[in-house]
Amino acid sequence: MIIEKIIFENYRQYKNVEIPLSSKKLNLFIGKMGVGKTNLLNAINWCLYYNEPYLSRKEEDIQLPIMNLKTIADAEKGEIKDVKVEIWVKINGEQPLIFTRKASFIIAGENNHPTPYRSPEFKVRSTDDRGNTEIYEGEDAEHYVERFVPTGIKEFFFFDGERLDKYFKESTRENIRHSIFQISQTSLLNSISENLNKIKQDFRKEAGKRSPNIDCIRTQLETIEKNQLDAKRRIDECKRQIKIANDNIQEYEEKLSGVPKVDDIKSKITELEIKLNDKELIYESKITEKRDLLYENGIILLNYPAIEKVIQIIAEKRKKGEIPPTGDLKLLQKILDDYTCSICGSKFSSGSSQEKSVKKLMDGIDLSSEIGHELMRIESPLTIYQNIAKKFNENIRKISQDIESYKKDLDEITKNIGDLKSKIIGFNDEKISNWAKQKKSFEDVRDRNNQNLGVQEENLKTLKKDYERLNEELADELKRESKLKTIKKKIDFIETTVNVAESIKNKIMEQIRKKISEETKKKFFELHWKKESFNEVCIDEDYDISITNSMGFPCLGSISGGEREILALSFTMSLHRISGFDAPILIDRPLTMVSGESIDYVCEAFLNIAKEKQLILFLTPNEYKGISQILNSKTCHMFELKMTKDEKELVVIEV
Amino acid sequence: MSKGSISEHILKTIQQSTNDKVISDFIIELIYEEANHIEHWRFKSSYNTLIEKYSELWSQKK
Amino acid sequence: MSKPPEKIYIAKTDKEKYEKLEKEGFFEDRNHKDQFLVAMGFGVKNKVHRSFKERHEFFWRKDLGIEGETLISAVGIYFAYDVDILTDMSKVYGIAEEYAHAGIDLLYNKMESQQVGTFWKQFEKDIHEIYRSLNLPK
Repeated sequence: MIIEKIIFENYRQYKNVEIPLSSKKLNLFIGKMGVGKTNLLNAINWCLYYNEPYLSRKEEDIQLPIMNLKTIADAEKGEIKDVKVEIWVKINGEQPLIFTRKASFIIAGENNHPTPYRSPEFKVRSTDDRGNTEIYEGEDAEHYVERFVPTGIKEFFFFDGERLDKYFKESTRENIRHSIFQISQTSLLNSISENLNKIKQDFRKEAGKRSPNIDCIRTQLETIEKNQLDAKRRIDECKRQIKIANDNIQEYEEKLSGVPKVDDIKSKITELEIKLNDKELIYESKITEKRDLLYENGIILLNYPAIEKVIQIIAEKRKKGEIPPTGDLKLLQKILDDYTCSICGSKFSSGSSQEKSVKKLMDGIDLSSEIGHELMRIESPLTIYQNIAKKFNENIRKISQDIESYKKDLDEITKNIGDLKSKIIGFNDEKISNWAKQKKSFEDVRDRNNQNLGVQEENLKTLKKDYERLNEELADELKRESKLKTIKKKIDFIETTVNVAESIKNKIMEQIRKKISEETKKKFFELHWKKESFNEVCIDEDYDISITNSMGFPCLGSISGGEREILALSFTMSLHRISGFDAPILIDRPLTMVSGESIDYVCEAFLNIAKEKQLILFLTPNEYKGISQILNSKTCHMFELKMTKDEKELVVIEV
Repeated sequence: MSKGSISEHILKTIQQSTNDKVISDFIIELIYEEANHIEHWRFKSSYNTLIEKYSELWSQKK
Repeated sequence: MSKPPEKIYIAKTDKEKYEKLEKEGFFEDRNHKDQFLVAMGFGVKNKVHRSFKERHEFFWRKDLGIEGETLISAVGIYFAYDVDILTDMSKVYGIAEEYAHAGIDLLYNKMESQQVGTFWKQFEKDIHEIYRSLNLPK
């Protein structure tokens, strides 16, 4: 199935443009940013699905009209103008199928703003071999779109490059399950089950009208069914959240695996710094203590000659008996001077025997009692000084050893801090810490959801039991009422059919999942340039896509943009092959997330894909510059998109 | 596989999934109905007609 | 016996030296009494003393306590080689002040040429040397 050509009439930048596309080569459109490449994608969406999912912010914000601005400017007031996009599609070489959407506008109002004039028309023209043309409109026309590219899976045919990159970054389980659901037609079986269940409810209601018991049970059953649905939804949501959390946890684990545990290291550093601070304070106080010791001992040792001398003198005086003083020289002198005894008061004269006795006493006393007393007074402190001096070496050694020991501790702690810091040097510790926090928060989310999942699953089990019990009760009540035999028969039939439909659905989904998984793997290894880097690509029973490297480790979160692109394309190709929908693939700016040497390989992959399927790519001139060796007019069907001078119209030039 | 046409694979799987031909024929008829209608179509009338027919056959077989 | 003086004096010219030593760390957190006794010790150790004319009040004698008074008395006796000097306490204190005057000079010159950290190391070394030279019984 290929797009033969696209015809535009007054659609945005495309005033009157016809673009013929190649079925044999890769189709390449090159145009600057804002020229209208993405609007080509929008045009196809608008024609087929009546929406424009890739409008730029500017177009959305300013609400630029869908009609070409030059057409609006040139139109007369009150004139009716059409916007039309027509897509010519060829299926298996047959006559083309033409999809046409046309919207008519009347140019009116103050600013000549185009206002919708009629409801847009959508037609599909089909011509058979004999030249008979049939035109389909409305629902029938929409059927043809569903044959071409069903709405449910159009995102796997029409991409923008950024979305392609995000494809396997975000939780993909739902994407994959949804795509398989759509292409396998199991959505039809789903509709059948849902509709049969609705009819079953109608039959129950009917039975309920004839018996209040049955009505009561029916109401309870409906409530349980609703609760079961809610529980299933909550279970699915929990599982989805768990999957998202696990994907993120894995991503952060991969990020953190090559980096140090910054938070742990930082907390150890803080602990050590506190210890260092405490030890430093003690160390400083020991230094001060030592200095005090040196100071006090210094005073003693510096003055020691004097101390030693006086101690010696005192010892001598003691030996001589001069200390303690035996008499009071001053008192005796006073007696002599006064010729009066201070003790008994008797007087004596000069030359008397009393005078001689006093003189003799005085001669016997060498040391005055004052001096004697003073010497005695200072004797004890001097002895203390002497003892202190003797102990100086021991005391100073002790404190020096303490200081040495603390210095050693400080050096060790400083070294440990240094070692720890060097482990995180060069790493953006804030970023790493953030990763660890993010990982933890996802772990919490996962744990919470796991808990909730358990609760909901238990709840569902209970509801199932209640449902079975009530269903049996209902069956019994229906049996009892002979008038309700027919209804019962129909209900039983519906229930059996629904069970069979469910099992068929699961079987088909499983078969298709396996096929897609195998095809994706096959295509990926076919397209990838470093096949030995990877071991396995698969989609498991939970619809999780996984890719493991040659070491056997999962690496979906860490593959490059180019590899992600190849993986997404491989998956898309397998979907196409298995679904049987052979529509072309359009990618806007496919190299947005690809860099380095991957670009060349990805371009080679595009050329490979173009051999089996129509591939249409949009690039900016800058993006094209680097790949012109590989993608050029020899290998591709190339178009240049250029704006006219007034920037109201696009010109498409075939290169 | 388009909505308008049903894949052989799904038809085959339906037939192989149950020994009850009445049920498999019923499902096949329903699947064609679904394929030939858009979403949210007025299904009850068609469904009830088919249920009437096939439930009778089914109960007779039982 | 004459009473000891109420106050202890330093040479006016020494005031700046004491202040500088306080500022530069060796005398930091030491009271004037201790500063004086260290300076006096330097004078006694090096056997130099010098008289001075203009004096500056440094601290109260009562701040010396028995330990400080003992040292000063010992220095006075050491100088005079006679205990009789104790009869003239003002002379004893005068001698102590002269030793301190000479000692502060020595100390100041030593400090000026080094960082305080280095000076402490040197001071410790000097004290150890003095200790060793005393051959004190353990």
